[in-house]
Amino acid sequence: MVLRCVKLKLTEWVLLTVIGILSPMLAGADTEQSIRWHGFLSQGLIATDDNNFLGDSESISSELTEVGIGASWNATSRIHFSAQALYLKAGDSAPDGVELDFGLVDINLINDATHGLGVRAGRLKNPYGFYNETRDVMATRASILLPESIYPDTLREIYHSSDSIGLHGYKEIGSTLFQFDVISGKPLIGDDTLDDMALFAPGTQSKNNELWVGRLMAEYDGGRLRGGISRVNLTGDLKPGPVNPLFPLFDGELELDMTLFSLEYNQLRWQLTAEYQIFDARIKDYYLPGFSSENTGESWYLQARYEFMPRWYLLARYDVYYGNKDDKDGKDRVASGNPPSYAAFAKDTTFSLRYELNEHWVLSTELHHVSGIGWLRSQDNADYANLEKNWNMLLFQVGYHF
Amino acid sequence: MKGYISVILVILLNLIFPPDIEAVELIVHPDTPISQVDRNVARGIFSMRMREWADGTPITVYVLTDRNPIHQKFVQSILAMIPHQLRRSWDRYLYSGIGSPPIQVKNLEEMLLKISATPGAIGYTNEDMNGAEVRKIEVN
Repeated sequence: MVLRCVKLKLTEWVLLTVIGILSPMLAGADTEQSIRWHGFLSQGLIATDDNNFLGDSESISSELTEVGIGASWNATSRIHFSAQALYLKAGDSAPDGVELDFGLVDINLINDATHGLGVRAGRLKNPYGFYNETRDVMATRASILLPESIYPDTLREIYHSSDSIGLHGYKEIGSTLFQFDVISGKPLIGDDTLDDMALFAPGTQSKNNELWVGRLMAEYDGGRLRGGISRVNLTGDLKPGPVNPLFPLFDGELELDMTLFSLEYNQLRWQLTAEYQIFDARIKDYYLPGFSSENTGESWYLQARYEFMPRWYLLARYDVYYGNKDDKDGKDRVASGNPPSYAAFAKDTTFSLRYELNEHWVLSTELHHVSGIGWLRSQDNADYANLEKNWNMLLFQVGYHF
Repeated sequence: MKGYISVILVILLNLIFPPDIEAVELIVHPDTPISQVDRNVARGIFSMRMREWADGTPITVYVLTDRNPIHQKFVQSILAMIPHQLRRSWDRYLYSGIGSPPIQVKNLEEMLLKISATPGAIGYTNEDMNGAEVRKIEVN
């Protein structure tokens, strides 16, 4: 265990050192055809008054580290290669060590002023909503934590990337630019991923997984108004973990559907953002052969951001999560012997302050007041049934990117 | 003493009322096969969607840093876009691996040098430049 910690720290330090030494030398590129390097790193601190989120946050957790380094190369103006290595610590959710975050070739078939079409293949970032593809880069997020109801940090691994092929394109009609992305392939589901999903018994695995992600975005007038719809379909074969004689489980099938609507209004100094997601999980034969169960969850947030002085931003957000939209107050949950009721939801009010020192460094602090424990996980909280309903969280994060 | 005060006054005044940036204009490498562009094409080029000119020459885009007043002026008046929206799409290209952002230069001097030396290059300036080294183009 100690060795494992030391090893992790070492990987982290090696990456940090590489970025530190290389970034001034590599950041400058001369022409379109040079190999170009990029990278980012951030470190966060999390403190909660009650309940743990991403590590032992009741006594201040530092388990929020994001480090990435990557390179890209335009072989021609039509053919683009890129790759990025990622080290992520977000509580227990990410696999230990450094992983390939993306590694792809992108070929542009049509590339005109008003329309374009291309294909890409390799390990691709999943195009979901406004934030998913660049969620690990602090500079690209409006806040330290993304709205947990839609971009859960506890399930980061599965959201990240997939080994896929994809088609993408754009079409401009009047002042509106339509952009689409569709990918299909294998999601990255690790041995522990399903344990984090709270739907399954510990040790359950999902095999032969297939993933489809599609997104259509419309941007009016250079991005003043943006709207989109994203859709995810994931299927897999469920294999229960070690047999529990009191609660036997069986080989089954899993199908997840997620639909996300996104809307944003932008002005020079301020920004209004809203997203609404509906999440549907169908599980067949797993609890009992011939028996199907279905669960539909719902989440949404409203967010306003204002640059009140150059480089200084204030953000306010209200973010709501319901694990089951037919049991929003958790009464059914309690009736079926699965307390507490407030595990059925989480309503998070967030205020965030951010300062961009220059084009590389960002500092931020934010306060969350949360009612409910819907997106907290038992991995962080041994005594899950006795968590507090109302809890507060203070975060601090510093980030660098080039 | 009086001298110091006036210097400080000038600096203060400059801070409070920043000097207006002269009109910013698009410039290209002199061999580039265009004399004018539509605004939506300029947006496509600076959003890094359009990657080559009509004759197949790769487009190389040069920009100043995000907070540079000339950059801000260019994005708002020539592209009629919001600078943070342009940055958002560049970041998406870079950090999800699907493309490259423009190449950033330190100042106008470097911008001119790079554009005059790179066939297919495009950028902007607020200086009166139109000659053998770079060519001004109109945006409609």
